[in-house]
Amino acid sequence: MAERIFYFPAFFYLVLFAIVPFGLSIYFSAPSGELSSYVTLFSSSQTLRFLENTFIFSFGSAIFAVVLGTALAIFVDSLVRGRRLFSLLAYLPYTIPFTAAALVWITIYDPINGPADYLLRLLGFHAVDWLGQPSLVIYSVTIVSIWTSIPLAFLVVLAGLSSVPAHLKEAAKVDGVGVSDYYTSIAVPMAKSAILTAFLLTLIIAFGNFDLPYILNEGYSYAVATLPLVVYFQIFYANEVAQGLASGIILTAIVSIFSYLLIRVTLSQGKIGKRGSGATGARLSVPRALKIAFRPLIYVVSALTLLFLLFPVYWMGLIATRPDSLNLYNPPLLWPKAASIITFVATAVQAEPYLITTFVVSLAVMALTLILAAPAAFAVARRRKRWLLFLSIYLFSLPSTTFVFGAYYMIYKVGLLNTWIALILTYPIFTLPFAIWTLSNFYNSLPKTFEEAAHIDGYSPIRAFYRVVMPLARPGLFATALLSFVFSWHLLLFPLVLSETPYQFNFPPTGSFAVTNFAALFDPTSFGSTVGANLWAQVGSAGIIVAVPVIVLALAAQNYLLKGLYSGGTKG
Amino acid sequence: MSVALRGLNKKFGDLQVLKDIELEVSKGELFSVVGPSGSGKTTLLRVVAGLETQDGGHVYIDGKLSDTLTPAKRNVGMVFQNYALYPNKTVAENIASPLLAKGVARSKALDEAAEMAKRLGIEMALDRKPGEISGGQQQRVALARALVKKPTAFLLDEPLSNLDAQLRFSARKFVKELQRDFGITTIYVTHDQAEALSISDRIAILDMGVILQVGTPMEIYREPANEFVANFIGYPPLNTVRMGLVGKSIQFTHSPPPGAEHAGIRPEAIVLGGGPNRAKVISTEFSGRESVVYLDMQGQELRALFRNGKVPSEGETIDFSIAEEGVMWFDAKGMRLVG
Repeated sequence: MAERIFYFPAFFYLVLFAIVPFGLSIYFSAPSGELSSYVTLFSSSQTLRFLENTFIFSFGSAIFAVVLGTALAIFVDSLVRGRRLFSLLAYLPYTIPFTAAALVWITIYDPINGPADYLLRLLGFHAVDWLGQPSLVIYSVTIVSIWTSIPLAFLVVLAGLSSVPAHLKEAAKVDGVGVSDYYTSIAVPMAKSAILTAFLLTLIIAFGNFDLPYILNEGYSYAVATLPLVVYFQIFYANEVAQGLASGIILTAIVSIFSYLLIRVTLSQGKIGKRGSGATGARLSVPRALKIAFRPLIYVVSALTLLFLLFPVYWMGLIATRPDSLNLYNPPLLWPKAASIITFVATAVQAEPYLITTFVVSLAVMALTLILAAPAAFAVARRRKRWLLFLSIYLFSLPSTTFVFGAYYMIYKVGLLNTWIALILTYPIFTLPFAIWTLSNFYNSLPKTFEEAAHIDGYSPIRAFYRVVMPLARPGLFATALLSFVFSWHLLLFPLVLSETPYQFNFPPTGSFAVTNFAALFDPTSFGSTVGANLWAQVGSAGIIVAVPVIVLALAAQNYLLKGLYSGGTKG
Repeated sequence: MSVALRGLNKKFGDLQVLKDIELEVSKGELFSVVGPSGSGKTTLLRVVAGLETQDGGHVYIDGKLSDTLTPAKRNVGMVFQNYALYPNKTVAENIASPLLAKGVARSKALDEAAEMAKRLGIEMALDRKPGEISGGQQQRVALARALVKKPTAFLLDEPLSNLDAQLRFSARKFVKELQRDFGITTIYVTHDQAEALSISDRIAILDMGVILQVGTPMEIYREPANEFVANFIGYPPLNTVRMGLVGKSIQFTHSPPPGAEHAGIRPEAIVLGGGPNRAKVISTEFSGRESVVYLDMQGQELRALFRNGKVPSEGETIDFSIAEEGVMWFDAKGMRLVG
């Protein structure tokens, strides 16, 4: 009886705000049982094009992110000192919202003054129009997605490598096993499921990625659109609701397959943890040449990856704080020469109502998420409500386009469009499943005896939870709260659909554009075909303003955040 | 009757951890449950506490059928093996926790906790966190927390195993005195047979979920029900001798009863320095007051206790006799033969 109180509120929320919208999407994709939207979908030659784009984008992101992330993780794991510093550097791009990242990359890809073409010329290639040439755009966008995906892959794989028991590492050292042998025959095989998890996670996130294609896709060209973008345009621009929802259902079905695999992997990790063993005995057979080249290879790949991860962050700071005239150099000026923060300050002032909205909404979402997830995750960890964990992982995997129409429909029906409440009520669709997943892993690592002692002391299950478990779980709750905040801060699709104006203090207050909406004001479509170098300070400033609160937060609480990310991905 | 277990059964999956357990612990008694690891002794204690639910049988606490009561309702005090002190609360708050759970006002609960701490000699640690005090003090905090609620039954799960050897010795005397002092019905679980012998009013020997024998320490040691109990209790362990050697290679002062398959000889019953038997010393272990001498008798190893005089050296041949009161006989099933 009492134990239902633990997970009912969270379950109720998920049903109302995730499962019902999901159901509405299915229902309206074939209104009154008419399947014409699906017939059109399967007979249209465009569909194949969208699918192709989506697969190039998703698999490209996941494969490169995992390969480069693994190399970087091996490098960091092999370090004796400086692990923290390098972890921090590598996860920096993760804190930057997709929208802000996309803005920076627009300037990097600039066909006249951008550093990307400069690099191509340095390497002896012809300059290209990264975002303008239709056959190229999907690859350009995928590169940005790889950039945003590497940190997560890196963190998950590093957690896997770090979970190799210290005594095995020491035994390898004593036995004189070399670095390359240690990683190829011991650590990497043991971290196999972490690597698989990293791949599935980045893949699933890339499948649902709406933000990057949306911002980087000049002129809404269907030729380079991925499915999430197609869903959005068909429903909210072209007014082909059933058609858009049908595309969304196809995307949902594809992601469901990989979500199922992710649940399987998570499940088998749980079993391995219980057996307390890890060594699979599997050895990678490695050619001798690779063995010799192993260490230099890892170092070179890691150095290049770090450069790739950090340059855009540096570049964003650079262009935001210099006069636009310095952007017109050819080759581009890569070092600070003169500073000017006039544009930055002006842009920040402009951003104020957006910042207020996002700040308030993210805080409220954080609180709501924690209140619902803390007891629910406990029920998962201690009362074996595994179905709730699987439901959470599944809902977490689904793209935001699965829920967006239903959520819009419901919010519209109750007259809450363009309000903070609309965002606060709907954002936990994404934060709550993640929080239940992360927190249940955290509770699993918490010894059971404290609760048992509390029961013996005479506390009822509910009081034992609030008086004894919650205080002990503070680090996990804190990490989960932070991650919820970061998630909310990053969301673009929902405020795009649910909001109409920036926040204004009338009575009652109206408007709920988020910082991501603010960043989207600077996308190429708003400026015409490209963002001229004369506007880079604005673009960079917008990027920084959107990203900086989260970066500061993430730096201040990096230990908690890293821990939270670890436990989200694996049982580290 | 303070705690009674009737026909208790418990399975974890396919593994039967408790099988038809029948036990009665009297009021004010210190009752130990001893067995090797995996014998089910901790599970037995957890069933009494209500932390595990039995598959069959009944638990009576203070005469009251308690099968469906939650741990909170059973009014038992428990000391966990790792103490399970709340790391984020002070010692005072830890001790007061059961009172606060009952709804006692905070100031009154803390007063009572302070009084209990004084009785256990840890009043100086009241304001500290568990992580800041010694292992011995942590153990006393755990005892205080369990006793402060004046429980009907006091349950201890290997309470001394986390202490180092020196401290363990004084702690076991402390626990015994405390138990006498409070006059509280106590179930004490341990894998350490010496601890159980020294501390208990009565002992139950548990193996693979089955109670093999219940009795006073003296009874258990002198009249073990079977070979397992005889082997498990006593250190150095019992010598087991095949019947083929009895009366031939090894001379006893009395003849075996009919049906005997094994002879068991307590190490202290092998009296070195004269007698009808002769053996070679393989090795010796010095342990202060006494030494363990390992003898070889045509492939049969014997352990003897040597107390006085010069310890025999390795390789030496030595004569010995076997004292009758340290010899027991077992049948083919390992049951001890009486008479």
